[in-house]
Amino acid sequence: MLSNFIILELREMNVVDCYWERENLNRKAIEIELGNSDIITCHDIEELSRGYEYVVTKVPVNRVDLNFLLSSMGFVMIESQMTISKSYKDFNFNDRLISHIYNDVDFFEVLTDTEFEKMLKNITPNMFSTDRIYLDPEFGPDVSCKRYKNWLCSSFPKKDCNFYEYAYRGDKVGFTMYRDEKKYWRGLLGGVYEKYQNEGLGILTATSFFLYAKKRNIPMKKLIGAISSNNIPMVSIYNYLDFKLISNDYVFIKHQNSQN
Amino acid sequence: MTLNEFIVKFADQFDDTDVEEISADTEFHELDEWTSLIALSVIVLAKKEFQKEISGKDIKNCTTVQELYEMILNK
Repeated sequence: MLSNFIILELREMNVVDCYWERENLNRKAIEIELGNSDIITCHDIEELSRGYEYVVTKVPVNRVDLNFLLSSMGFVMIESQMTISKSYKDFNFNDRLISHIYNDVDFFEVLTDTEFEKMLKNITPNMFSTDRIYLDPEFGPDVSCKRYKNWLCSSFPKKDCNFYEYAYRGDKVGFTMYRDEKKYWRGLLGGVYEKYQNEGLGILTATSFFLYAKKRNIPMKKLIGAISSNNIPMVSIYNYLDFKLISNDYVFIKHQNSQN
Repeated sequence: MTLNEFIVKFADQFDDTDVEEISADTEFHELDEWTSLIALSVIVLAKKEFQKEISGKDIKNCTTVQELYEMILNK
């Protein structure tokens, strides 16, 4: 049972039964997102996570007390998840690197099942090598890849997000999934295909939205996305492009017996 | 452009790696600061300073700074 005090504070907290992770990870998973003013104890977290095998807890950066609490309970900090943004009007299309690639980049919307299947085939186990699932010895590259593919496959038929592949000098080198939320575009997933990594194309992961909007003449106000602190090469690219840091959460994970 | 001049220009692409840390034999992929962003900067450098078009794959196939320099010259 949770104490009455905690129940009052739960409004700040977001607790999600991640039922879809059963298929992805073969685990019963829960995500507990803690807020800036949440007051919570070990007992509360144990109660919330009872019966789950994989517990993910997100903590805002200024709650070091919660870091200590989770560490004392055997949680492991696996990444820092940064939310970042960049306005279209502030995007520098004249940057020397961007202007160098601009004319060599083409876009291909992924609209049909056939196009989607082709895109999916390019997503290989080592493409997202800084993902927390990839890096977790309990899971690894194949599980991480399966999870991403499942996410894409469940999102595509809903038609509430957009997909495109980008080509550099004629070769399709990466893809993007984003949602147009009118006030901004939310970058959901994307990256350079494994075969083309380490060839100077990483900048396309961050810039493709802006180049796509410009080349297709689609209105775009702002991009919001998330990046893991484990992905230093991409963090340095976002830093180079002068993205704004909106928020930062520590992500803790714990594997436990579902009988706990 | 001589190899030594190239090394200076190459080092310019880095923010935190000094030119003293880079020689002809340096295996540049192993430098802490080496990223896809620097690779793209080198592609732009080759275009601007040598008027040569090189690709990321060309860079990936080189190990040392000297190999990189010679690859650009021979393009």
